[in-house]
Amino acid sequence: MTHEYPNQQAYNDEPLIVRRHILDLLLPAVWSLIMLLPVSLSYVVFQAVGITSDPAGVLAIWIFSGLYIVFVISFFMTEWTFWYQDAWIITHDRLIDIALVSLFNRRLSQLSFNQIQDIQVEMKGYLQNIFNYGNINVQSAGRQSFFQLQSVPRPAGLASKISDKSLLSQQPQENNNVQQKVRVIKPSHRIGEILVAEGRITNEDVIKALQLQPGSGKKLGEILQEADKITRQDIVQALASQYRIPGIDLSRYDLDGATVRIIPKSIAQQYLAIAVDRSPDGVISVAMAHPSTELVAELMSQFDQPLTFLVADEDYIKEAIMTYYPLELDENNDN
Amino acid sequence: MNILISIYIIFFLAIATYVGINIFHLVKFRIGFRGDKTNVAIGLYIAIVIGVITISWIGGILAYNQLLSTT
Repeated sequence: MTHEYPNQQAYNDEPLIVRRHILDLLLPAVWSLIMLLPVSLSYVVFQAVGITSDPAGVLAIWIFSGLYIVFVISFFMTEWTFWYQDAWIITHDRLIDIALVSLFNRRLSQLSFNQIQDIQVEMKGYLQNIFNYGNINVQSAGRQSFFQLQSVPRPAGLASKISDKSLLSQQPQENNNVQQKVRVIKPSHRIGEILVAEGRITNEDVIKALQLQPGSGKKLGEILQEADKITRQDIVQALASQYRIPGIDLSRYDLDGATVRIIPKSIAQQYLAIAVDRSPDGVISVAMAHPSTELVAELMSQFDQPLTFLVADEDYIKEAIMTYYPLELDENNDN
Repeated sequence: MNILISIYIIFFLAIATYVGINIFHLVKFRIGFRGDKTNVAIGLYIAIVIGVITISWIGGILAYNQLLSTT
């Protein structure tokens, strides 16, 4: 048996097809039944008008009712098609979203499991909790930073399956870091758009923040943080999504002073970037507070070793610089 | 009667187009995998559509003849 979904590859595992819960078809089914009501009422109406005494009138009622019933069945069939062909495919290495936007308008997107950063399960209301279905929100570092599997059955089990696959796919990648060439990072979306897409803030919050921004000398994230709209970790995650690189929580990471000092203090202070890890293969992981194409290019020009990049909270980076670099003697005080 | 049949043909063609679009969409955008029910769905759909049209015609002709014989 061959699989015919887009960009298919040879898989050892049978891909898992996930659709919205069958209850999503309840509303179209009810609508179809309501649409059938006029057929049964029409005979009463036509009898009152007197058409039913005319043979041609009766024939017309029968054959046009038949056409109308076919129309209603076709309406339900269209809804069923939307339900059936709007699916998510979970393969051994990625998640494929097949979205039917409208008839003859299909959107395909895919996400490698090694790009997944966060998975959330969302079950709202009585129906979803009684019938055990809900949404799975997948946060990624990919071009499409947010994936939602809507109204899927048994979301908790499915999320755990995706999470397991994500962990498995990320393990071998760490060992292959040495073969990974340093890539030029570019922002995918504006940070405000990402935060809105993630549901952390609203469009109105962005507009208010943008109005405050001119002349303040602050970045949008800082203004939103000061307004208590987002946390520092939200900024890190949004930057990670924006530049499609992983985020790191330095508060939970044991830094090694010798590793940190691989980057000269002047560069670390100037760019707010520190080395957080050095793999046995010599790949240096650099955490930076404000990722940018220019900063990456600058750091790449400074080092011969291959580099990988991460986003971290600015305050933790400043703290690490204070902690791990020796204090410079103030020449003025020496005199 | 001629007018009735003409109007019926117009409506029939419109509904037939809709049914055709549904079937074409199902075939064109099918996701091929083990356990795919597209063929079953199309078969069932066509059978129901033909069944409803046929029954409506048979019912209509029977009622037509019954009324003619009683009047």
